[in-house]
Amino acid sequence: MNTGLVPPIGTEPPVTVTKKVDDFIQAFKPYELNEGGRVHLFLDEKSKAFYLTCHLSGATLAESCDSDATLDVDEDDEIYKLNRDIQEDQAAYQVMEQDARNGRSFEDLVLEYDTSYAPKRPLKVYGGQHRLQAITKAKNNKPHTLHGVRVYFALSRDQKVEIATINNTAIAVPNDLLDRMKEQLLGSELRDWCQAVGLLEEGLDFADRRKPDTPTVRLARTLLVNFFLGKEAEKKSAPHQPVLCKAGGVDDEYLRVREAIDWTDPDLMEMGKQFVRLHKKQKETVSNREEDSNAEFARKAFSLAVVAAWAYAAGAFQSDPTSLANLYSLPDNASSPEDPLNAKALSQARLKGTDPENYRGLGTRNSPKELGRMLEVFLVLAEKGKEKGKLKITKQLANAAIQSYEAKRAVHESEKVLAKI
Amino acid sequence: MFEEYLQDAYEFLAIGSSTSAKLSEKEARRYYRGAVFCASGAIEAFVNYLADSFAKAGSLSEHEICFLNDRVLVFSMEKGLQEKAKYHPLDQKIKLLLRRFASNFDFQSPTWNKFKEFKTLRDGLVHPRQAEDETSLKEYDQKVRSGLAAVIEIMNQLSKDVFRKPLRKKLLDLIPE
Repeated sequence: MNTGLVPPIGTEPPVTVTKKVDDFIQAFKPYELNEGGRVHLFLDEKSKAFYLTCHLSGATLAESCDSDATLDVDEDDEIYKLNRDIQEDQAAYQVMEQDARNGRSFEDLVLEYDTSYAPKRPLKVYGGQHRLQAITKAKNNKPHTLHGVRVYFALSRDQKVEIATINNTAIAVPNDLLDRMKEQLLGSELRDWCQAVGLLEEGLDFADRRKPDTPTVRLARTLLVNFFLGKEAEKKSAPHQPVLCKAGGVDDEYLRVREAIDWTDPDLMEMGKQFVRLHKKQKETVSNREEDSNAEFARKAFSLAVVAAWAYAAGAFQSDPTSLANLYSLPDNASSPEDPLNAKALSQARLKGTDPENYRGLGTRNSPKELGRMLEVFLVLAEKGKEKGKLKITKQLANAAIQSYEAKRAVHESEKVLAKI
Repeated sequence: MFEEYLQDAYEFLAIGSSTSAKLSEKEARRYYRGAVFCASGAIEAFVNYLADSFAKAGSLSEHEICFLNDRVLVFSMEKGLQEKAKYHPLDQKIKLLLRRFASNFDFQSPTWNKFKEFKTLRDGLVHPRQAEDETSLKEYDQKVRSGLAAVIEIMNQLSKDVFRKPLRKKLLDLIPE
């Protein structure tokens, strides 16, 4: 056994383990062994697996770690991957990547030293793949940063599964909670504004997950950002495009908008109050009727696609009082049992011939196209309202909005293509 | 309507060509004619749907929108600029759309040629010059099959060019073998 290794007390590791430990120490020279230091070998009593903890450089990890740890090496088609997929678009991951570039030391990456497959990358990753990805991306900036690893040796198939499972069972912090925490760091203005317009009750904070009556930070941010995008976009010739604020931290567009917000602006206050009125009427009407009274219809105004599109329209109509009045009069134009957003009609609307059978209608999905389609409902409503007085959302209007949106998009796309020729 | 018309055309073709239905020649022709009317109605309805979409969006020039919607802009000293009805051939509208939306559609292709043949068949039925329908069942079967296929293929091309999405699979499955 390597002289730099302290064996576990009260148990004798098998030779298969000590042999691998020696190989590992020889190959990777953990930081702890510098200047005569030692590393300890431990026994996990639950899994009966042996492991040591030590520190390796970012460059070493980037070079030798294998995130495609598998159970069945020979099965090409159906590899049982032992890791969650990397989700690089998660806000938390992006922060991690930035931190790695700034020299953040990460701890407790869970590895197995295993040369039985892909021997050039013998450090099989069972936990911390996102951190490892961030370390790998930062290897040119910070190759010498030390990171803490827990390295297992000579694991059986069952032990591999157990270790991988325990390290991939993340008790995730909900994105909505992260948003709320980050918003608190920015200040109380958003919460105060929501309370002032009635979106939040006095003394209440944002929801930490989706709830029928309490908005999340993401919803409130989306409302504000789109109001300002709409105001800015009214002068632009490009097609209108509402957006959703990112969840799980801070949204750049929101930060940009937030800096310039006058929280006491009467137009902004009015927009907030009108949105609350729409939500309340929607919920009240759907909840009190006998047919089509499902919860999704009741909270339709809180669907993020509706929030983004409605707020964008409210912003864009700031210089068009008639259209704005049409939009704001939506809760007044439908008489019970009709809900102002006509959630059922929205759910049935589709582009004939191309939208798939399982298309769930307007205001459900959050892709840019779906946000654009939803916005078009409010644009058509306001436009037609000028000709015919106050209008309601009907299936026909929703279908017309989809057609109109797709026709606008078609011309925009073809112009882009033609411009390249 | 175009979805239903395509399904109708497919059904009529299936019945007309069915050997198990034991139809007389007259009866079989009846179904083939039904298939022709429905298939041509389908593509016309689809082009009208596109035309209506552009009219709703106002995203093409007024002249193009009028052309697609069988209107024309006329100027007179007395009434100024006004729209009047003017019917434009379906194939011209399709050409306008395919060219307008940067398609590389080949107007010498078998699909387009099959569509033109089918249009001739349809025009012969809609504006007949003969006292009786003398088209043989074999000819009907071949022309309706290739015509329905061409109609769906062109509709699919238009859908991909304009809406950036193909027709629903359920509709593409109606292309006869």
